[in-house]
Amino acid sequence: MAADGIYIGVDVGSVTTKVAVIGAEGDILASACLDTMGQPARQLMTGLAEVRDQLAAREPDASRTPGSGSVPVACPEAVAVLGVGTTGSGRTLAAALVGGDVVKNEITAHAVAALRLIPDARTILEIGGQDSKVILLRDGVVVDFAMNTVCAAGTGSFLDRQASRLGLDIREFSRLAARSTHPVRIAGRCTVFAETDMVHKQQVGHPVEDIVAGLCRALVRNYLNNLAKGKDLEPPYVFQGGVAANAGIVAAFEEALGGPVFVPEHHALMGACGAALLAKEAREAAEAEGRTFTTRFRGFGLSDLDYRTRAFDCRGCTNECEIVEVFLDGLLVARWGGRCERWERSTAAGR
Amino acid sequence: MSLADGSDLREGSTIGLPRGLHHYDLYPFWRTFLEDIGFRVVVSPPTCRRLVEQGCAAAADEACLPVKTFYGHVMDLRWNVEAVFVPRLVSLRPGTYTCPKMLGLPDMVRQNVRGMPRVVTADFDETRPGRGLLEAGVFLARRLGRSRALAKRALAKACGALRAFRGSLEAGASFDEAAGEAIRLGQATPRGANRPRPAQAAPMDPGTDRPDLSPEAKGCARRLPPRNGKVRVGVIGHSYNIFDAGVSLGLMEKLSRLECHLVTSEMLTEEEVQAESSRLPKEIFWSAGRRVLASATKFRREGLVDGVVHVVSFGCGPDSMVGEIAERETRRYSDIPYLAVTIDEHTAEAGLVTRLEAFVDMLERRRRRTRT
Repeated sequence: MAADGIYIGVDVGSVTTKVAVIGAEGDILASACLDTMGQPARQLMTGLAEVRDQLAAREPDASRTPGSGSVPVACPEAVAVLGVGTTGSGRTLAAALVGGDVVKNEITAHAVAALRLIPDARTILEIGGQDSKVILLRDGVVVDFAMNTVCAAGTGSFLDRQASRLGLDIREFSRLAARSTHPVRIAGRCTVFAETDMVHKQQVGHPVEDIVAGLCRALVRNYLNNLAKGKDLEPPYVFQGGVAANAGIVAAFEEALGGPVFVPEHHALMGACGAALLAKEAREAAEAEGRTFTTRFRGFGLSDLDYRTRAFDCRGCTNECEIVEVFLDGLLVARWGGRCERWERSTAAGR
Repeated sequence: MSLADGSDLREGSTIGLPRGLHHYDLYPFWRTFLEDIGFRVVVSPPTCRRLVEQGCAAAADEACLPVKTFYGHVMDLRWNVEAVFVPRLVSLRPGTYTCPKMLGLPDMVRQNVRGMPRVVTADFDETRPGRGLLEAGVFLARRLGRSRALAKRALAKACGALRAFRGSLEAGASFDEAAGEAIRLGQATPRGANRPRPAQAAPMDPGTDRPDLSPEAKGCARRLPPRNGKVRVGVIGHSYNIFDAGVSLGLMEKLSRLECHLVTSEMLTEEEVQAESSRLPKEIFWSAGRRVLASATKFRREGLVDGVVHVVSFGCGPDSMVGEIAERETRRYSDIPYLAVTIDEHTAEAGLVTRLEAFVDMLERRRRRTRT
């Protein structure tokens, strides 16, 4: 199974924290997806423990370690971790805690993951909890991208909020949208006004499914007008990120783009998979050059360690940068946040 | 006594120069000039969070971040100097104008900042004969009670400093290096000396020994160091945005840390800017936008860079058009990626880092792909 070793990818987003474990062939062996809940470090530890258990359950060799009897071992020692990649807005923290070898931005991670599944992909639509991106690819390389700049309109958080305002579970929201026959028109420019518009449509008496479908269209319109403004979106389209689970949004995209939109099975895990693939790429590149590549991974036992984050204002100059320090079991493992290098102490190589 | 009058200022009085806006174009000139006519010059400290915050609190809401920051600099100076010098830049070139915020800068500062000392100003308007930079110098000296003859001698020295400054910028020096060197050159010349030493320009010209360049490559292309496997990013924008790390959130430094070569729009000579501008059906109306668009055009036409980053202040009227033209033309006539970075006082550093990292990553991966 994973006899050749594994790569771990971590994607710490604003709303969810994802961990993916891939094999040497790039196939997903284990994964975890948790709400960040404002505690990225705690959730990351939990996610790591989850994938450890999944790996242990699927590793018959590991559970037969002498002395462990029939009890599955807590740590799959038999599996060699070859590299760790981190991404997402919390990538620096994640790399410090887990011991990341590659720290990459979300754009690159998402592109790498999508290209592995669909090598000829030309457009990636990505909508996460609090940000959205569009990535254009030509011949397997990123040629252009955009991220939402000024507001979180049309992201997962907004959909969650509107679903709960309508008293719907987000899964139900998705099903309802698919049933609509006459989607209402909702102003999608700004979420505050979209909400006002929705209230009005409800009071006029439109059925919920039409409002929900209208909202999906508004969101897609907003996305295409803001992010993709002036860009040539060409098929094949890949839609990833948490919001890709929403059938209503997928249908609205297909309608607006006039073509099929491919949603990968592990659409929410794409960032984490991309980070793992980038770690794999880094190791292979090092080995191709004849360098030895040793992972900084701290081990699965990490979830039992105590961690602490602390911040202070540097008084070195008038910039008064906020410096963040991360301690693991009382030991300083990372420090960042300054404009200059005075406090810089990164545990991760590369970006 | 008019507000602009400073004729009672004695020799050795302190005049403050706010470190913002035109500072990044003319600082060596004004500093050399003022010192030579007998004043002590104090420059506000580099932009920091505190200066930005106090400037934002005092400035008009619709002003852009560099203008708000300029207020912060003026406020920092106000208790320590006898006068603050804020020139009125009307036009840097016949047929072009600066933006309304620049036109009204001395008046806005006088009106909006409490406890201001004297604000000394001088108009610089190339659209009108007899209102150029040299005349502005003479006017300023007269206002400060100095003789015309003294002013003329100081101007020769100030022009020498300005030439040295431009020469270093065009050769790829950072603002601090270029300005420091130019001012030292001015100070080394004895006071009132008529002839400054000739400007030491373009020390980085690698000459003809450049196998990576075609024989036709000249000007800017020749002044750039070879790529050496790194990607080269063209940073375009107004000088006060790209050179002021406090305003641009350290964009230049962040890009350097990502291991790329940087080329800025300030590296073009005036002749190069003119050559590119004359290709347009109609010249750009704005003094600063002209250079931005010319550099985008030059970078694209000569394939000098792997990607272009345009630093724009949020709410900048001129750039809303100049940026759009630059972006469209870059996309239409080349496959050079273009990233517009808009900056205001709310810009989150994390978002900027992600964009820059992704941009440089994209350029590197593309480069690797085309090589294999």
